[in-house]
Amino acid sequence: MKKKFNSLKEFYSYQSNNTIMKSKILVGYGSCGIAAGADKVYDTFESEIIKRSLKDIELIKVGCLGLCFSEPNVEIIINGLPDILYGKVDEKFAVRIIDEHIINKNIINHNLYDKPYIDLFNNKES
Amino acid sequence: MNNNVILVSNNSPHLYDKFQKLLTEKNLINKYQLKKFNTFGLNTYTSIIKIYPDKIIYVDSLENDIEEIVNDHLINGKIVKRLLYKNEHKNYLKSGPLPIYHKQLRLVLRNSGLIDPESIESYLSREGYRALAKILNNTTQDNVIDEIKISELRGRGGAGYPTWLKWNFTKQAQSDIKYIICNADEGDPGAYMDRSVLEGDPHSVIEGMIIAAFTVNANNGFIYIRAEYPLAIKRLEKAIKDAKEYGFLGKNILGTNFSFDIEIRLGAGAFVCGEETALISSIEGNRGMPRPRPPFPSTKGLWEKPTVINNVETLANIPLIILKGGDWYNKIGTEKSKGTKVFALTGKVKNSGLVEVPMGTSLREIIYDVGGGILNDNKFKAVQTGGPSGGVIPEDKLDTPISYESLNELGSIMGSGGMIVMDHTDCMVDVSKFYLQFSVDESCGKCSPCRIGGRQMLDLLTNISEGKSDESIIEKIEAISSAMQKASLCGLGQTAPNPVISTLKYFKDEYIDHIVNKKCISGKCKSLIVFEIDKNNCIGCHLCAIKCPVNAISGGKKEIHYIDQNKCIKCGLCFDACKFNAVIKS
Amino acid sequence: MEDNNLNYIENAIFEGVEDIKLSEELMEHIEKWKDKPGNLIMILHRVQQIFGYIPLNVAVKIAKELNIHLAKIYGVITFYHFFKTEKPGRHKISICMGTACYLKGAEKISDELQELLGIEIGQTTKDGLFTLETVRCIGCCGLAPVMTIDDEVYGNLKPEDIAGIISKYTNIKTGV
Repeated sequence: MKKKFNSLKEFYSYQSNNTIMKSKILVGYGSCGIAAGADKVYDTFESEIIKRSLKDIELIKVGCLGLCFSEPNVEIIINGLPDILYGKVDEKFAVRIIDEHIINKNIINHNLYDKPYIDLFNNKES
Repeated sequence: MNNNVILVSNNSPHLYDKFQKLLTEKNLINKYQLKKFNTFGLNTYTSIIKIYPDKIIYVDSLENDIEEIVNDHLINGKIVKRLLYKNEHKNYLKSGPLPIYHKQLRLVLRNSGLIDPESIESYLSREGYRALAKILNNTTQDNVIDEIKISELRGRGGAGYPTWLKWNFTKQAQSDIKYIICNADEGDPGAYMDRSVLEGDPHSVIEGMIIAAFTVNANNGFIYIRAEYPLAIKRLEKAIKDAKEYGFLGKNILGTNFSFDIEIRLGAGAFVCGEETALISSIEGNRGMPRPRPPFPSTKGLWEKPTVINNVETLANIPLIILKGGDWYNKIGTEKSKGTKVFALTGKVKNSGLVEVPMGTSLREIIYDVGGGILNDNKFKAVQTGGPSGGVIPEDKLDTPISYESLNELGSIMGSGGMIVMDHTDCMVDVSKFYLQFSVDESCGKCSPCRIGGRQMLDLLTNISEGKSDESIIEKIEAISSAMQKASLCGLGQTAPNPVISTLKYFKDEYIDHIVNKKCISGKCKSLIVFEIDKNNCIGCHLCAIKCPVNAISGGKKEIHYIDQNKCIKCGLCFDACKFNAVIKS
Repeated sequence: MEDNNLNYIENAIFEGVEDIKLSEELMEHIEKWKDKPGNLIMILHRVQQIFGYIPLNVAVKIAKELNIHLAKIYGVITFYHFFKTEKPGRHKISICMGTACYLKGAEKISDELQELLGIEIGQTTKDGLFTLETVRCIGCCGLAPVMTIDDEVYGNLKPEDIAGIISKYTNIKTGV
């Protein structure tokens, strides 16, 4: 972890190590998501990643994606494939995502959602 | 790895089938990942096809076009120009990032759902605290005020007061001690915008507060947040701690002379504390009662010191305005309402959720294009904005572009961002009773127009819903409304009649139906409905009688049943239980 | 405490109230906030977190510690919905009465719960197992109608679901 920034210069010269491009599993982990079962989905991803010793994959709890009707929502970001948002993910489906999407790079034809906005900073969109 | 992906929107399943057929015929099916996705812009385009890794979007394609896409694009690598998505300038994007074909624009929610809210590094990787560094580096306080002034940002808590003016009053006020307060006391039932921002991107609000503090010379800040939001509180606490460790909060921020600290104060379930003077009273540890303004908090606020109070969404906008410039921000929105607004779109809408759209987007676009239309394809009746302080908007006003002004004109308000869709099964008398009941419960009791007026009006509405009224009642309601609006001390009382006034304005027929005909066509007002058995449809299955909690239904097996009206409590369980439409509600 | 009359009444109350020794943790919390302006609500929050409500003898203790009138404390407690003056049941059932939940049938859920538990909103069952209350909006409008039991959220409810959910908690009781 970074120590305290003691000057503006230090701040400007700091490069956050968060920008390294890894595959990412983003789990919508706001109150609504948790109420709909995001906690169990997250735990499933976590244990599956350990069980299969998957490397270079980052599992992240993120805030609300805005799609409350399809909670729990999970977004998968893998280099080379479009960013994919799955809605109504349960524990069983989470295992499928690991097997098919993450390991076999095969997008699952089920509960795919269009991300209804673009990323302001990266201007890329799935 | 096969990274050729074709995504076809699910509102055009025949196109998906056609793709599948053609790809199979041409032996390409193993080269492509063909998938269906759920869209939001159902009313905007009949179909959306996205092709990766080329990043091409085709819209409104017909079945016959698929062959051309497969032959020209997939096989020969030639883009089918006539089907490309075009933006308002009639240009299309051949490559590079995908065009924005969505109605939503996420400024406030720019990081929500993309970053780990508990990681400051995650925030830093997305321009986090860059705005703060920018103003500390080479900006004067006046520059900041100018930038906010150019942006024309207005308060997102409801009233829409220009943010720069508030800041300027506090900046000019003479005092050694000044405060910044973030109002996160989101009390509107059916709204959760602020909670989502705090849960998804707490640092953006903290950065906004620090910038405000720098601008007005404040050294202490408070976030007043509902105790009912434990996750948001936890993430805020973590964010404040991290910000301190990194040197964005505390003494000598980023090595400059500027020092600022933030404390969290918990609300305790009083809606009136969203009102700024009541909120101040609550932070001071007292009953959250409002006081007359002026003096305004900007000059005499917390512990009598000049205080800036901004809402969560307002503050989350600040870093972006500083980063991208007031001019940039000013280009988004309508003439008088700039930027975007976050709404919690709920009720009888298919895709309920948190949406952020530019000001000027129409209600119809939000409900039908973003929200996907009405749940169960029921008939739309009204949309309510502004919660207990707002009003309903009927079908024929749906094309109104959203702005502070336009919503006021319609008799509603922007409010903090609750947007509740109602269908034909919702009774307008019942809805206005619901909101008024809320305001009556939440009235702090300090001033009589609100305390007594609200109660009296609620009694009148109850009479209407129970069929115990005549036409003179409307006049009485109007008189009380007017008195409350004019004479109440704070916003709660002044706006409490709004739901009643607006339903009366647009749905007077429904009131008259209740008052004169003693009828509630939506079937919500229990006293006015009767449950009866339709003798032609009843097969005597006895299910209704089993469900009835008060044993009001009699009849043996395979006999026509009967509901005893004296016993019936109108719970509607029999109506829900009957599978043969033999229980009728009238 | 300048007002002698009030002082007299309060002393009478103080005498009638059994003294309570507060936990070290709570005393530390009070100590931490003691000299900060506007501390009362933050202290009451912690008390409620520990006890589930604000017991009279704790309120008396706080009045003494902070050197403020008991009336002031009760003024605050009774103003805010969040603070309770009565001991709640072991499980707190909160029915969301936000607008979205209301439109989607929260009243039927509420009726069913009252019927099943045999209590009204705001009451606690005789066995002390459940307290039933309504809340304004817990912000899960996408899942409406919603209720929470303790920290667990139950969404998309139908009246017929309720009995099954409740039984999960009553079974725990028999196991204890």
